[in-house]
Amino acid sequence: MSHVLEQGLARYVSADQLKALRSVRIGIAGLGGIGSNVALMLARTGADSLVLVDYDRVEASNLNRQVYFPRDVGRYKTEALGEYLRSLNPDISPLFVQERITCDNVQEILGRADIWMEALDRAEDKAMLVRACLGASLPCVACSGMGGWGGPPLAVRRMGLLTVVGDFARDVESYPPLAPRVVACAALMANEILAHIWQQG
Amino acid sequence: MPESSDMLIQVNGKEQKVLQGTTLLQIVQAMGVDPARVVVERNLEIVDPEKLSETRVADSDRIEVIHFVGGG
Repeated sequence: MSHVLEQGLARYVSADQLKALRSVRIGIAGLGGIGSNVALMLARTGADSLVLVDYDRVEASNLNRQVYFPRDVGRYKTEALGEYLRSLNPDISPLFVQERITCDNVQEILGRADIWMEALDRAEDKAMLVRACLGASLPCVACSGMGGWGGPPLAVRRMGLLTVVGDFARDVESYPPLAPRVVACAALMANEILAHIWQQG
Repeated sequence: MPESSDMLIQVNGKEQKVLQGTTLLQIVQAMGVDPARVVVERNLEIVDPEKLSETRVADSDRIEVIHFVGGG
């Protein structure tokens, strides 16, 4: 017997689409403002083959834009997010990678998924992850610039295996990361993943 | 016969004239961005960051410079 999410999803998403979505291992590098929201959106759409990478614990300053709640402060993000994903879909069993991605382990970690979402904090780490994905011929959806409020529209730039979403300017060091723009960016990224998987099918 | 020292390349979809011998690093620096925070594609091939300073662009090259800012 299928679970409630799946019963409801059947109204919008065909069995073939669901199969295609579930046949792709989707990696999410970083479970902060972008990654935690992307994971939940993809899970709501039926994805259940997720590889979730984060080494960090939930902090009070994360609650303004990440999917966590006050009771999660101090927990590992992998653990807290895993719980929310399972409450949405009891059949989901993500692969959790509780590691910090560095140039030494990036190849090994990337090999665990078929497509990657780059959702890391530091610009240098983002560039490193994207280069590694492209070097390994893995499709990658990355983000660059979603700080502040108002501001320039978020753009979707598609270049072969790489898609980058963002305004390419508003660094969160200068512009505070607030829920509306961060979640808007995450939503555009999740949408790119669906387009990638379903347009190919 | 005067030799033209200019080449026509595309950077992020826009045509740009550059001098013979221009390197990818010079192109990135001219954009005012930190080379450690970019991904550079030359004719759809990713360029190793350590090779930006030694890679000279050729006429008609299509260069994409993707600039990352913090936040995720």
